[in-house]
Amino acid sequence: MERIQATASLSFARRRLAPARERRPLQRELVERARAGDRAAFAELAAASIGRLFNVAQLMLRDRDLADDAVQETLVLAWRDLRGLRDIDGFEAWLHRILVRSVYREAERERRRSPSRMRLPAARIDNDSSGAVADRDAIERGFRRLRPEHRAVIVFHHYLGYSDEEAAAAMAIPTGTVKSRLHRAMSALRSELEADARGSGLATESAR
Amino acid sequence: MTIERDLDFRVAAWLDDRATFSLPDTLLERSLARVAVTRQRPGWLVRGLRQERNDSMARIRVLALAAAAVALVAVWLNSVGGGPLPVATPSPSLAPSNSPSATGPFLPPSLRAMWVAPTRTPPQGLSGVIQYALNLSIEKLQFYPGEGNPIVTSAATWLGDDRLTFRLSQDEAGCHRDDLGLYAFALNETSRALTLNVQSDPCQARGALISGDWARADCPNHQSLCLGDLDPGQHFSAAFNPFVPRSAFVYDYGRLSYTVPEGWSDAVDGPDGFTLVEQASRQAGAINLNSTAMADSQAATCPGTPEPGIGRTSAALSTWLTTLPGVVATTPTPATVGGLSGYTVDLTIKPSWTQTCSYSGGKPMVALFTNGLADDINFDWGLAAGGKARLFLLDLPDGRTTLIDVEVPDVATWDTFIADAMPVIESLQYHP
Repeated sequence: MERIQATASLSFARRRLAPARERRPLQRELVERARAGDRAAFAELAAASIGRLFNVAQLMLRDRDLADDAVQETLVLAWRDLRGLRDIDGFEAWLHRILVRSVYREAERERRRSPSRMRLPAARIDNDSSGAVADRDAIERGFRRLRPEHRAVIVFHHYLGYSDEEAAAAMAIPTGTVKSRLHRAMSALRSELEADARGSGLATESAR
Repeated sequence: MTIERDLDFRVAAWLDDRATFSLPDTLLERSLARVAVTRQRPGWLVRGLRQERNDSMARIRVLALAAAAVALVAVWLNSVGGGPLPVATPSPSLAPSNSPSATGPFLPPSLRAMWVAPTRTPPQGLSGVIQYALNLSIEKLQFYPGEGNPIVTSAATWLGDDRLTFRLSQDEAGCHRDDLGLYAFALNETSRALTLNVQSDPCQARGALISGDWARADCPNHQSLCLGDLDPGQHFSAAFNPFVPRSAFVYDYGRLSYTVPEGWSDAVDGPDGFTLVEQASRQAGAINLNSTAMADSQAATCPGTPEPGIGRTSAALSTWLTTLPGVVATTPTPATVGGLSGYTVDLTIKPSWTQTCSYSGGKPMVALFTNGLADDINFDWGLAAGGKARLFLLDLPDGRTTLIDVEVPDVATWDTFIADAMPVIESLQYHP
């Protein structure tokens, strides 16, 4: 972006770039333009969304490379299918639905490539009196063992702070399913943490 | 802290802790480069597919397809794991800092990019396909023809060392789904040049399309497939083509060649525009090429329409520039660049000039050129106060004029930039 701005700042200005920067049109207008085939408008939408998309993807997948691929796929599919979006105001939820599907696909590919991965026993870190570091490590291990759809609902609820209705829209599932899925996800995580706390020694991490 | 207590809070805190503010390098640019070569589906088709996914019979079809896919994956795993292809240890000399993730034969990061290459003769059965771009992602190959959807999409697997396999995703181009090709690759020291050599591939079309030399399209401007930072030496444009009007544009690699020393970037490469900048001083200046230059309206509103009564030849345009009231212009002198002839002229804005345009950011500006096209692909070029430009107006065989603009926004940087830029200008070569 820095280089684009540098180029665009030259006095030999390209007029069509300047108004977009000055007016900062609302997302709705950008979606309408992108739906009509305007790639520059879509680029603005993508630039505004990509940080959140990547964060959600890497939190769900716990792997930057896979998240990178999932985000690329999300944006390409979003562009390809944008003309089919009926509710312009629902663009973000629609984009998240595509992301979730892409994340599931990446998780599934990863599972098939590495069905069983050995890991070392949990490291005990005692120099932190609150145990915060060890606690975060335990959550990391437990979270990685969750099914992708459980990771997704936790990220939407606890990271993005989505309501049940918003999470339902983002995952394309009924609101009731969000509630039950979140309950199961947190129960599964709690079970993993309990197992971890008991100290399991050398364990096999199975990607689901 | 017990496991039961405050789990919600702990998870939320952990997620916040694990969130990142750093995106992978060029993720946006790489994504938009793929968008740039993806065609939108008609709305009725997207909605139809969505409806079909909700249809119960369609679900059965999807399940059947999924079962078939699982079977194919099993076959794939079997063949990769126990097939005749060699599995080598990654070579430290090939990609020492680009090793893939610890598990899975993903392509090394040094290969994951959009790549562009010279136009080639299409293999039999693919007449009309124009060589355009190759996308290698973490585990996929897609070849983009000039128009339409990607072809020869294949699952890509790194076998280690310099070996890759590509497994075709569907029947096409005279090839069959699951056709497995074995390729060798080589990257130069900066990973900006790639050579793919087919070792064996039952899919001849794929071999013909992707074998050979490729240049990394690492474009900072995600609207085009420009190369981005350049290695020293000669390079070619991927899309810029001044020899056809915009309405007749087709992708045609190599219509412009240029040679740069260390430290230059290709920042734009589109049908009618091409830009080179110095990496160390991107704000300081640029070499801008435009395929079609017409005199821009001098009306105070800067309407961006052609100025009536001004010819399109280099002589007419350069003479017109000397008549503009807001411009200080040198006397146009004959010039030849890259095989095209015309005139060159240096321009600055008169200190007394106060007129602005809507796109000048409040600075006094003189509108100079337009391409005279409809608004969505219209360009209006103007010189703003404080800047300086050297223009080369070159005649094209069909009566249009193509433009080279060497320009700085701050005249204080002119001497330094023009000294760096002129050797690059002198290296330009047009290839009609």
